[in-house]
Amino acid sequence: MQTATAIIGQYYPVQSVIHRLDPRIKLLGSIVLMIIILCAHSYPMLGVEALCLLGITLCARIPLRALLSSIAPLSFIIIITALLNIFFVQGGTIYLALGPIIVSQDGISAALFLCCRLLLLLISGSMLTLTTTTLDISDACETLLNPLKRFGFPSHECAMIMGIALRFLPQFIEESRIIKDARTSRGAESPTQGGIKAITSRLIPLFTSAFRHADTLALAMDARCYHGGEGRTHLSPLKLATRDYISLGCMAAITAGSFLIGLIG
Amino acid sequence: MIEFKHVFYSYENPASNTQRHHRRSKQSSSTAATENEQVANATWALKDITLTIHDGSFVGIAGHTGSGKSTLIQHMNGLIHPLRGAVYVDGNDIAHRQAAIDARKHIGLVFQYPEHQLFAETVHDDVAFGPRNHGLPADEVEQRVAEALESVNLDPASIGSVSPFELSGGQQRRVAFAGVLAMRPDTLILDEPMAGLDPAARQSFLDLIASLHKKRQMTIVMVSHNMNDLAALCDRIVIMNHGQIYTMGTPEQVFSDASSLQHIGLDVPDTQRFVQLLKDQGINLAPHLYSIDSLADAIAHELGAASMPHSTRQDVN
Repeated sequence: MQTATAIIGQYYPVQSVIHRLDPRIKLLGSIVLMIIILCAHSYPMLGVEALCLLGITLCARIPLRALLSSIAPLSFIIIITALLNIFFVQGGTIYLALGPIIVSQDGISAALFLCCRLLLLLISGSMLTLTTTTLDISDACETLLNPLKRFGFPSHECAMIMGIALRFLPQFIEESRIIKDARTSRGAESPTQGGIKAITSRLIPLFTSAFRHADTLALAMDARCYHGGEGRTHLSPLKLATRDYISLGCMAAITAGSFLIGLIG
Repeated sequence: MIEFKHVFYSYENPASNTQRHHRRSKQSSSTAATENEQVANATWALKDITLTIHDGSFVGIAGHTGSGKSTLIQHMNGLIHPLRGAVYVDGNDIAHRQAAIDARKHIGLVFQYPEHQLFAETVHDDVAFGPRNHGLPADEVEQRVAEALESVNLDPASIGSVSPFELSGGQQRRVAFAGVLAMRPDTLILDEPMAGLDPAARQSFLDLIASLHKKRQMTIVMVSHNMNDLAALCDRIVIMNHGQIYTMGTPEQVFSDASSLQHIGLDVPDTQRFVQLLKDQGINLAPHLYSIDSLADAIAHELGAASMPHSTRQDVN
């Protein structure tokens, strides 16, 4: 169970305005934020988004440490991107030249900007998962994709697949731990010992167990007369409240504001 | 011999495994202080376990779900290490990596539903996994695979080249069991070995375990919910409750007081429950651990003493 806590952006259970928001609004909001961040080409524009994210964090009553530790496992992406930029973007004053490795002013400033941008991107993504349960997210996906049904898009099935995948994640983490322990008990000391053989010895039981779970789950769903999304009702249907409309307004204002700053800056 | 000395373990602190290693390297007073705080605050999966498993014994472990049985047995071959206290195998503290590796060579651990861990293309390869990991020569591996399959009553010649996934559930479990026996352990730790088997497979598995204990003098530690099995096979029984040892002793000591086990939501062997029911009806039998035969004798004796006149009984004799 120890590993389960390290999952990126795991739901942080506190009571807050943000937690109570409609998941559809949160999903849309984080997508809009990500688009703005991706479009941002100047520090003032990123600054607006940073302030905005800080405000959301405070409203969501999520401690900064929890927020940062939720994206810590992904920090390697930021580091690799930064390094690539330092080495491959050339121009301006040259600070260091070691054979083919040249570190220049433009490289460093590009790396810095990308770092900030990626950091904000990751934070806005994990803000969604920190404040929204996986069930709510898949519900929101379903209702948001519903209009596509007219073109034959299986929105309910997609949401169901996503929900099941998320549901079984902790289960498979636990099972792979047991398989690892059983291997260790049979003298497999390190994961690398035995090469490919050692890897298959851990993967194959995991796959067979996945198929076994799929079989039993399908049977259980059949037994409960599951027949897809047609005419299916929800236990707690999503309904927009006043706070959702207010946050929609805020979102529109922030979007307009940031692009205005972008135009001026 | 496996010794537990004041073992504490908690799943709550993810750093628990590393913490102990830290303590070994720098035994400063500050870490000791934080540890004392931990004892007070943490939710313990195991709490102050002191227990000795002697060579050649057959120890049963029972307790309801979440009582710490699985955590306890995973300490026995060093898969997890105590947060406080220590586990010694033949006198060596298995918190040390090398000691744990050595211990695993002669302590075989069979997990729950071991057939879920089969992976190889053939039965032979799956059973050979353990011996190969220990770097044994090929002919020695062959010999051990054949021996292990034979000891679980499978024919190495006919079944060795079959894919384990084509076998029945009961046979798959035998193969998985052979995979552990192929390491030639002198101690076997079994986590609910009979779970999910049909009655016939169950009985033959029980017989197999009993014969490994009797004929090969293996030390056996068996976790089970079935008190009838435990009463019939074990010479010592450990009852776990909330991460602590609730009672420990011979089956006779543990099962003679049915009500205290029922108090923590556990069953007692059928015979003991029958004795309890008779007691409620006013028929008092001596507090023993009964098998079905000895119980029948005791009841016959009790009824005979109550109803049969002296003369007739002498006539019968």
